[in-house]
Amino acid sequence: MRLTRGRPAGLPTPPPLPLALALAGTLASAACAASAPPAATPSSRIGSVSDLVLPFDSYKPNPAQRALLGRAHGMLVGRCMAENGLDVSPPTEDATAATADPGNARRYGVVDTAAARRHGYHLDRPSSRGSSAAWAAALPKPARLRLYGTAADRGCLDRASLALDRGSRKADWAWLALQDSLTLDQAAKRPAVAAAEERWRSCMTQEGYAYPDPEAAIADRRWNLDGQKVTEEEKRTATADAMCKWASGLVSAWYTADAELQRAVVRDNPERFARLRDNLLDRLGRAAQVLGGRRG
Amino acid sequence: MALAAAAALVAVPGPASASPRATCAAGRVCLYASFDFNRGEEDRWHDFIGDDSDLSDNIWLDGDFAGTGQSMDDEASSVRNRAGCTVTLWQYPGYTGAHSTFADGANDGFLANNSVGNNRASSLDIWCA
Repeated sequence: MRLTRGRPAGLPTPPPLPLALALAGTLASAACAASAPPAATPSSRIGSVSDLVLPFDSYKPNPAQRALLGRAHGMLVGRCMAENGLDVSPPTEDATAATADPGNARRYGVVDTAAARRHGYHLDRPSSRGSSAAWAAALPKPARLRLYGTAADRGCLDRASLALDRGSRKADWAWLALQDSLTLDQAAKRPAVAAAEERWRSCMTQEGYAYPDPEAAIADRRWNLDGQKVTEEEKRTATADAMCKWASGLVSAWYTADAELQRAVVRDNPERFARLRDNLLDRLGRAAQVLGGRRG
Repeated sequence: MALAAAAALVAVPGPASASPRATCAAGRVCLYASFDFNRGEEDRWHDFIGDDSDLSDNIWLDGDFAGTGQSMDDEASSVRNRAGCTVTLWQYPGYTGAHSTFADGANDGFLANNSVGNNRASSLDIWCA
């Protein structure tokens, strides 16, 4: 499932990056262009993370829609709990959480150079370690039981989800999600992507990092991605990695193939996609009703 | 599917609780090796209270909380989110690739049709607003 094609993980060589590379991306581009095979010309101009928009994206709820659905769900949970005499509302996916969704920023690995400079390979958002356990510890047992329910008696979280879906035209979101992962995998196997990865390796080697592939770089045991600490070496490596992914054409080649595959899936399944759109519209309408004060 | 030496059983103490097959403690995210939360199958599961960038570092636990010696990488087939927060399952390690987001309280007994797919989840992060 990974882009890795069976090469053993290698050890990075430790020489420091040229200062200029850490400060500007142009040097990496120039270095790669000089040392590696020429990059394949992408079918469209892809120059930053914001350009990584895929055909499936327009069918998924956007951050504002997710926040709306989350608020409506939270309101229904609160009502359900109140009907059981419990004044407890769990954390819900509000606007902040919805906009924190990484979207496609990490779909092709760490490619956001600015984020890599600040956070290395770590996720670009506040750590939540311990928060969930703390929330649960503070939850009285009767409330916990009513919230989550049992196999025989649905909890308020489940009931709220069902209430929000009630009356909506059906759609197979799970199918879309599966296609979303398959196009990425299939795109990674394209020759253009493999060739770009060769150029990425040359670029990284020139910068002093002898990783066999991007998966080995992010999986380096020196980085602890489960913890909060980000070392300067991790930041330097991730920055060089992200720059080389752009300079080598790896992001562009992978994205281009991915987008092409997604366009074909959309083209070949018009009814499925129409149902996805209808279902989302129905649920958004229902959520607006809930938030507008109409009983579910 | 990566399997560690099956004979290398490691005893892992756990809290006294009903079978994980049926429940998932509040504050945790539970992954199950089989569909439908292991119903009718060997009870291989694992719970999380924080981010995990590479599930292959973990081994499945059995119904008695003992380690099975089997790596979790690319093996999860169903999930329950009781974390009180949003959980994201990622297709690749290091929180990369396609991802699926599960709101608090979400159950998905059939990850085969999900973004990370059956036997595909490789990392997990928990996000509390």
